Amino acid sequence: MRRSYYIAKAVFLESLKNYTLVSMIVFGVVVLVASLFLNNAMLGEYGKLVVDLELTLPILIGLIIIIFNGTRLVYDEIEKKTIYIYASKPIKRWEFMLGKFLGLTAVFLVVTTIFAILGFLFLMLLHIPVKGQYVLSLFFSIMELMILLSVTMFFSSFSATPILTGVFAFVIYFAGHLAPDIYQYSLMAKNQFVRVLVRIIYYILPNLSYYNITKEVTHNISISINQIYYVISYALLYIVLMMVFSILIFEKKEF
Amino acid sequence: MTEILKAEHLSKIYKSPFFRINHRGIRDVSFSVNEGEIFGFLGPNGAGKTTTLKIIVGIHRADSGRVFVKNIPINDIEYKKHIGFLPENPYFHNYLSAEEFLSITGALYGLNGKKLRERIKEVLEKVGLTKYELRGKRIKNFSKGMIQRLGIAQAIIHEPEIVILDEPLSGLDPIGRKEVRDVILDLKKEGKTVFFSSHILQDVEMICDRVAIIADGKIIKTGILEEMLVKKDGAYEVKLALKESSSFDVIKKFGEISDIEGNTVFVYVDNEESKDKLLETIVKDGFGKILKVNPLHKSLEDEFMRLFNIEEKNEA
Amino acid sequence: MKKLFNIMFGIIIVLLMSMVYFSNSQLMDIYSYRDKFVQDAKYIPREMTNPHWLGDFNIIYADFIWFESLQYYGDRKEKKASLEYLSNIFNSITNLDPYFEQAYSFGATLVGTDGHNWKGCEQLLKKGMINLPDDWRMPFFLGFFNYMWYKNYRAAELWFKIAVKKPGCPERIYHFIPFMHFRMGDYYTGMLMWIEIYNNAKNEQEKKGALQNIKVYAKKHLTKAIRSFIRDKGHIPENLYVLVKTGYAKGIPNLPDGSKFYYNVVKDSVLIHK
Repeated sequence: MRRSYYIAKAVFLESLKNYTLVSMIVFGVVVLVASLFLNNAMLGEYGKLVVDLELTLPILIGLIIIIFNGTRLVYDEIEKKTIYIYASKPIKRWEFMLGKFLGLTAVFLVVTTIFAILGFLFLMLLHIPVKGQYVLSLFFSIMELMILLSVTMFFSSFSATPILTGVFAFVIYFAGHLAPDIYQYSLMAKNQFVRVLVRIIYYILPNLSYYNITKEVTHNISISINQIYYVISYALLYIVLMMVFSILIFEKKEF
Repeated sequence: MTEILKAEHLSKIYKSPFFRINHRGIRDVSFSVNEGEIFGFLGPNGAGKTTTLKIIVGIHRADSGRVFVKNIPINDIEYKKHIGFLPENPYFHNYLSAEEFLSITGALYGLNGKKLRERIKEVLEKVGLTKYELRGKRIKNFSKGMIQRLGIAQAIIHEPEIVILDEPLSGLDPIGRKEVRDVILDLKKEGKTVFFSSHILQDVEMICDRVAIIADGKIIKTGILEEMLVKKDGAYEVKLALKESSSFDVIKKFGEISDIEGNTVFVYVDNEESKDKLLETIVKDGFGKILKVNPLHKSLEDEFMRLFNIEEKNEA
Repeated sequence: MKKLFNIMFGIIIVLLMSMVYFSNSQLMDIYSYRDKFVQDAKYIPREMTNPHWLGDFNIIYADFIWFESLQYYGDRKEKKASLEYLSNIFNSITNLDPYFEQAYSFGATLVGTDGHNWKGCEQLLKKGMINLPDDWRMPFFLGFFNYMWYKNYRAAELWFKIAVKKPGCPERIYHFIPFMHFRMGDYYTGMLMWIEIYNNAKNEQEKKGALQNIKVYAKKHLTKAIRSFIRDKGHIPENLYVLVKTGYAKGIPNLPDGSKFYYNVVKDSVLIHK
């Protein structure tokens, strides 16, 4: 475990020193500041725009990180042969994979924290009360990104190119959000075979729509403890399964 | 002399995933490396050098055969603490600095805190990276030589007994080669064992104590370098700068003219006696200047080629 | 063989060309309407009505369409162009962000007043009531528009009654309910409601206003009853209680400040004195 921490540290440091992440954060901050000036157009729902941006910008940046960094996380190591250095060190392969995963998770955490703090500052500036539910929503979005990252790592453990993995991740993201519609379709389909097939697809896909509670949060709709418990355990289960599969594939891999 | 690294009957065949065609690999490779020596692993490109190294280092699993370092088998995680590895054309995280990278690799061996920091300083000093301005410089901006040094630094950070280097001298300029060579010799002085592969014969010739020659996935010969080098006594190549071209005839008495470039002449002389006479004549009669006298060895290269020829004949 | 192939090839080419021509002429037909449609169609993001297509960004996209809708509204208003597609825009916004309260109330107002799309307005507000069941604004606006545009006072009164029951509803909304009864001609019920408001009033100002309203309603109620009594019976009622007995008035109210009612025959009006 401790060795995973050092791998995570390497991933984290490298991501932070990468200009792309910094420039994305700067872009996000600029958008957030600009939203302050547009706030009057929200007609009575003051602060809605700030809250919306605060809650969605970390996901946007996280998605970009996954598609541009997450897909190359393992691929680059193999392609550029950095893996040789780690493989010759006393570190097991599962520790290596876990470290990679935790490193990017730490990046998500930092990005989210930055936007949370900035958003809360702006809300105070506008004299709008800050609610604990915002933190819950941000927590949910980190979990969503972690699920997506684990899926991406699973794909990248056997996919040929990072571009293909990126496309996979992108499709999975939107398909995961369409999960409730897929379920509805499985109920409505007339053909029995199609019905079963669609139902299987529904169970395989990560149901990311659970993690989109932005609209509930911005409009003070309450979220039950049961839902929170269910969603957290779903995320844990999905991440563990995906990581186990990708580690199993990675263990067999020869570079 | 105790054996530190021992490889027994290593075999590895790469299979194409779709067509089940067997690709290059290694067959029944066995050798052992003694403590405190520089062991050269020599072979042409594609002979299986890197495959062997990858198996020794634990990147690949061998189909059959065993590897030990100090009698520890390879699947023990302790094994990797005794070896340091520099891959061919190493590539590190682009955006980290040298210190950060070394601190992470050091931490993987359980070094930390003050001890780690001191060790990093020591290692950077040893590989000669301290003469560059490193503060805040990203590995992305390093030159090839610096990366090679950093690679050696990460291989020796935990003071391993045996350092395994894959083509450490390839792709460097002459000064860089000299410096890396010095680092390897320094390691030997410290009592470390160095195992390195190369396809360049001169490097091996210069620094290795023992060599193993691999071709087409099989070890052809293992031995002490001095024994392999057979001197052909008394043959010399003399380089002269002549004043007049008419003096060619005089020179021809002593030996063969192998090459002419304007007034510069290369002369091949059979024995020491005629060499002395040739030089004497030129100095006394003032025919011209002596630029270079080069004794000719039968070098490792010739040995190498000879071995190859035998191999090919056997195959045929 | 080669000849046959050439002929076949020629026929296929001709067929293809003719197909292109005919499909083109159909396309031309569509494009003739292009100018008419493009302005409005541009603002109807039909594909985006399912919020799940957008992942986590449905909310932020709703905000963008909101800004766009304001611009669209201003632009068309200035040009005095038709605003009939306005309801589609607000529908998309509320599909993407079902809890966006302003999109319902403000949107419905625009759709009703400037778009003249009563049906769209009503649909939008009803959708708002389903998605935001605890908000008083949707039923209130629905009641208000019923009163303003349809002159459907009964429906308006019902919606106001619903609005009043929601949490956070301002007290002033209560005043609309007796007013609807007034408009319907049911002065007595309205007056009873005003008496209730008077009794529950928290400050003097409100009490005074309520009392004034009570008197107006009471006068109207009694005047109406007396007039219909005279019209039917041909003579003036002996006293006001006769009106109740004969069923012309629902009741004689007791005014909270203790005033009494008088009927001035000459002026044909009800007076109130202490």
